[in-house]
Amino acid sequence: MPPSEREADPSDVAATPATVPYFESLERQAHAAHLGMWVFLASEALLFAGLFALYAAYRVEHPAAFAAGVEGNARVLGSLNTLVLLTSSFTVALAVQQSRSGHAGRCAALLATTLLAGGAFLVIKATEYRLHFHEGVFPGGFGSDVAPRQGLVVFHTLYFVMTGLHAIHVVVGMAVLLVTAIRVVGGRVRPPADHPVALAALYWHLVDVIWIFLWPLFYLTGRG
Amino acid sequence: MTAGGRPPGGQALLVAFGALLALAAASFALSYAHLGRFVTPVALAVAFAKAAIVLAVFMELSRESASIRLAVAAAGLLVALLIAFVVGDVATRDAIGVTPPSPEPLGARVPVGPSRRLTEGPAKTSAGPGEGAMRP
Repeated sequence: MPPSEREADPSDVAATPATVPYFESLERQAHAAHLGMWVFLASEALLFAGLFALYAAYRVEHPAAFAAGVEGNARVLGSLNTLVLLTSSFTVALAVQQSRSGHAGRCAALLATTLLAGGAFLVIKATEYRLHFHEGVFPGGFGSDVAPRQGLVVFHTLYFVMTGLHAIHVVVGMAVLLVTAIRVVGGRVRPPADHPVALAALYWHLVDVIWIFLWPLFYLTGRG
Repeated sequence: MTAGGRPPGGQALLVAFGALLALAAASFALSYAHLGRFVTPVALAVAFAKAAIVLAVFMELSRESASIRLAVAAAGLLVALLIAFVVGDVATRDAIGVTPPSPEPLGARVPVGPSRRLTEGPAKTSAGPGEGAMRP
């Protein structure tokens, strides 16, 4: 049903349990929720922007050490994680589409698939960290027997901080998706009041967008 | 409240996903090409293209309202300004001759303050000429 028709039918709004009384219509409520989520995502982008600015400044200061650090990272594992996250973005976008169509079962299955992809991402990332620790690479240059170059220490510290913060966002995103999937299965999120699925998907896509920039900066831009 | 347009269908999502995979594959392959100083700009250009696809199609920003697009544009501008000013500062320090002193390594600091006075004798010896004039 088009939005204009939904707004014209007050019984539809009244019958929807998710509608909060101070919103004129479900459409306005969904718009407010979307705007709030986008502003939150913008603040998240600014959080990561500070770290990206640090990365850029230190890369200008230590270009050779940063290129060496990129060469030393596990390019295949990082690229595999890119594939996993891009696929998860696709599945969660499909979940939103199925939610709009009223297919709660398919929507929940796609959310579960996205959760599995998030879990796979974390397993691959943990494997990567374990390889680094085995090689004596730690944040801040700690744990290394030989004194590494200052630029390399900065690179690895930024690597652990930025990918670690991103991994925390993956965990939070998985929790949001899990709660959303449970609500969908329980019949508490259904059309036309299905914007919680879209909001959870928006957060997950942000996690993907941040990784889209982390991947080249930490895995692909070596000595060239 | 949306700006209009139908939400992307399954086919549009599939095309976007295919484009994302193709761009990721291109970026991976280019990382093995010897691009010299262009390696980072090229990789970032591909990353921006991928981010644009995710924002426009998966996140449906292209059909959101003007208020939402304004919020996103403002955030994008602020992110760009932050990174540009930081990089601009670091990259131009040598050119304009205002390189700040490097931090001294730990343990190499010369003691200052009271501890230095204890090793060098009374502080009066370094007093300026004006100090005596102020005394009665």
